[in-house]
Amino acid sequence: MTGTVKATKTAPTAPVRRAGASRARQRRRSALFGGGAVVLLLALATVSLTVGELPMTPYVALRALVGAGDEGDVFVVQEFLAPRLTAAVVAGAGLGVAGSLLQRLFRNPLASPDVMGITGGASFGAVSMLAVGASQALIPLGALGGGLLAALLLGVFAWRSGLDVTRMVLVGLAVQAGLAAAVNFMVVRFPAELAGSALQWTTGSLYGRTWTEVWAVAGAVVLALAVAFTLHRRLAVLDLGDDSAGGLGLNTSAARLQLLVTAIVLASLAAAISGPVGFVALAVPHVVRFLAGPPTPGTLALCGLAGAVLLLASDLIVQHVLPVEGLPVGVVTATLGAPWLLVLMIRQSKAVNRSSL
Amino acid sequence: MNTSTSGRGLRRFGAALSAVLIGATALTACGDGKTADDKPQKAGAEADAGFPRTVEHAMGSTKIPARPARVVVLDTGELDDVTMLGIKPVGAVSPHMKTAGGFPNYLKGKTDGVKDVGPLLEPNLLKIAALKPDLILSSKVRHEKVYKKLSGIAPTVFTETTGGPWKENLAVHAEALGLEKQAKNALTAYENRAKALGEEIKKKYKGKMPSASVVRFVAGPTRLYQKSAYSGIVLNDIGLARPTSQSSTDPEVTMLDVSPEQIDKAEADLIFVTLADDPSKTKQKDVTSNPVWKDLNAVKNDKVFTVPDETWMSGIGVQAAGHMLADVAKAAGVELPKK
Amino acid sequence: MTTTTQRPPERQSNELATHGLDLRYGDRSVIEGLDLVLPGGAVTAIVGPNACGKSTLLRGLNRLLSPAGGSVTLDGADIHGMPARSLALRMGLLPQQPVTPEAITVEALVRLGRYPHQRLLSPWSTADQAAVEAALERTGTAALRDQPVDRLSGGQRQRAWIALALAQDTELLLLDEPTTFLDLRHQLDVLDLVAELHSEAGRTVVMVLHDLGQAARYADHLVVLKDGRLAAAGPPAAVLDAGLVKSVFDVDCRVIPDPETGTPLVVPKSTAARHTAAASL
Repeated sequence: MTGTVKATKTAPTAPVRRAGASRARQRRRSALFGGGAVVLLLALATVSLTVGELPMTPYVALRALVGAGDEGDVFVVQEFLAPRLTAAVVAGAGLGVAGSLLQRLFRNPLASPDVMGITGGASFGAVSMLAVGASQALIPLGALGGGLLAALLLGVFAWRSGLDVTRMVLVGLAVQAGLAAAVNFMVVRFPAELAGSALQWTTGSLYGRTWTEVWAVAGAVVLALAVAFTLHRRLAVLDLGDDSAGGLGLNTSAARLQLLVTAIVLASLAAAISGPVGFVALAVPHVVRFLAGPPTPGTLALCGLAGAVLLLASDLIVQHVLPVEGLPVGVVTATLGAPWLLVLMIRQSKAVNRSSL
Repeated sequence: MNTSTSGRGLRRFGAALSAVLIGATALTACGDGKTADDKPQKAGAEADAGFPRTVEHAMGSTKIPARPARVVVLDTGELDDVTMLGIKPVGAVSPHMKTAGGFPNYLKGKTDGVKDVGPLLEPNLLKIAALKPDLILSSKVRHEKVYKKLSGIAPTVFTETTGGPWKENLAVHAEALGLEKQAKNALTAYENRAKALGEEIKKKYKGKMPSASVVRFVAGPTRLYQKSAYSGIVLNDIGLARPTSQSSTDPEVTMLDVSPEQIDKAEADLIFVTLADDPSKTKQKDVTSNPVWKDLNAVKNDKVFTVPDETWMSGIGVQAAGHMLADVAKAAGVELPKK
Repeated sequence: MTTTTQRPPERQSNELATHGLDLRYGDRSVIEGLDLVLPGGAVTAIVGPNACGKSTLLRGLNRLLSPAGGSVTLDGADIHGMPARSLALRMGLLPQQPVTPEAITVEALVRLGRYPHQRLLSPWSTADQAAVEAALERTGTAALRDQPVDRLSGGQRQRAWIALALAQDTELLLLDEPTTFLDLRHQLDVLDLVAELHSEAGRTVVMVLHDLGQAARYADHLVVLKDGRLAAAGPPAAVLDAGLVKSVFDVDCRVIPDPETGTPLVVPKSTAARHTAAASL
């Protein structure tokens, strides 16, 4: 009998902390930040509806949102402001959750739709639509299809290794690079008027979204998010490594595939209404981890909220803060996300160094 | 479907629009006449003859209830056409993405007070709506994506594309504005003038039309503009010959990318050069420092002329073409025939 | 503890067996034609030199590796014919170097052991919580429940992982070198815990061990592998002798009774003797 085991056996009433104290603490923390994110999101939404060329009071904007009040206000809110706002929220949430899923699946803090070829695929799909002269209404479908195509390529090339993590990251990088090259190849051949649109589509923009697009994508994103949360338990088990997960009766390949497809679908759907917006999927999980601790279903939800906040805030900056009009929102997410991510990484590496002393 | 959307948009905006119209009329009536210019008087003479009318265009058919007075144009060709027809638009896009505002220089005086509604690629829909326009003009290739939203703001008429078919586009714009006769007259006058210029040049060159080459330096490969491009059509109206490298009449093929070593394809009696971007971003230096360029007869004979990009390339229409005629006359050393 | 006494009385024997088992990694054959019976209700230690296939065999016994030939049975049923979850309800596994998710707490880790007991959307049940509490108690990690696993000492961390396997609540436990990287004191802690699981909770344990003396002391049944083949199997006292150690590990030694327990104790011969032996090879 060992000392430790004996100690707990002979003194079972020793100061054992309340069961799940840390879990409750973390849940409180997630709830706190979740509440904060919701408040922030509502505030940003209010700003996006009330500030700008046609300013109106929140009351008027809210009434206009439900179709009451001045017809002109109703039209502006319902046709211009609300679809763009909804698109930002939906795409941001999809990207945040997709990023979180991918980073955990690949156990790589840099895994994101950008690295895995999904954003490259979305660009490729959108630009292909432009290249063949299809209606601009089909571009979102092109982006969605391109993202899924990239995922398919990834699957084909990485499948034989049983979805091995390292290999998938490498294949993803190759797919991304290849598709980016294909996009460049097409764009340099475009006449000037198409090259401009192509640039807008390969950087990500929320301009001119229609309700048809927004509702279709929003519905699909909600479904995919539901699947993501349902699969969270499997993801947590996968976090233990393949041997432990297999020992717990999880079919690791199937679970990884389910989660991967969910993340890819989320990222591709986001790309369909926002274009390939970079950095949201990459930065959001880090920010959430920094604020709310290790991953739980709660922090996964937080990733969705934080993604929505980040994309909406970036889009507001594009519309109201920048002196130059019409910049793609992806430019802002990248400029906001990159330094923030750097700060986090430096902090983290410092923390690691400290703890190793 | 387009008719129905624009119809719904109209109903939605009906009240607001009529209010604005009444307001505008009131302003015109009691204003000092400065903002009114000579246009409302002219329009007033013809009253609203021919309106309401339905215009068939690239996105379907659109009903225009009354002669448009508050027009928003979302591209440079539309801006040229509309100002040429004596209408000062209430809003226009800035011609180049990422440059803050700035309408073409050659339209100076005709664009004072025109509201900049944002960049060409993503015009600010709210700014457009805030202007309460009664007609929006653009093209499918530019703004197909937001056609429905635009037609919710005001009747919106789109041409298929811009550039090459600029004369047909003028006819569409004129129909929407109810100014067909003016447009036709202006176009005929231009064409006659171009032809007369051609005669002068032919005389000067002893009966043999000289050839003209159009080189554009952009951020990217250098381009040779074809017969089917807007500039090509103007040169063709004059009757200038074109080198084989620029003889495409296919509207889909309006330019040819060349490397600095292939610049011998630009050989012609007269070479017109435009700069679409900051010269440091273009291949201008690489091209003009290349022996192939220096070996061109036009270069040796000092027959290379730098002309404004905004009249030869981006500003499309009768007014821009008029400036082109002047540039060509100067290059060929002849008097530009009077209008 | 409560959970183990709740078991149905008609106990399965929990006898694992391999039948002509071939295990490969790609083209490399690791285990060849292995016929083996691992008695139920006993503690079995698998020993052998490095790269003899011990860990591979353990992975094969738990379906982490599909056989290239032959089969593995649990109480006569082919484990590859069973749903993964059913197998996970009967057999738990502690891998040699488990991946500890960043910043996960001990309790959160142990809760994951309940995975095979949960359905896709089923909520966390009182039975789940009871199993977790029992596992924390038994491994002496209850006081550490809110600590991040990656900040624990090696011994504490190993006990947290064993707690996860216990929360899985299986009659059969596979442990892959559970004492690696631990100092002697913590090695003994872990092995004593294993002994206790067997003696008090009646669990069948199969573990890969490095130390022959510890294997002999803690196991009822010894499996000795060499180059992917069975070198010997049986009770330690019957199996472990100088000839076997020489032929399997290439070490000249004496095997004497452990002065503490009487189990066989391998005492390598002096350096000089071993060096001449090595030179003669």
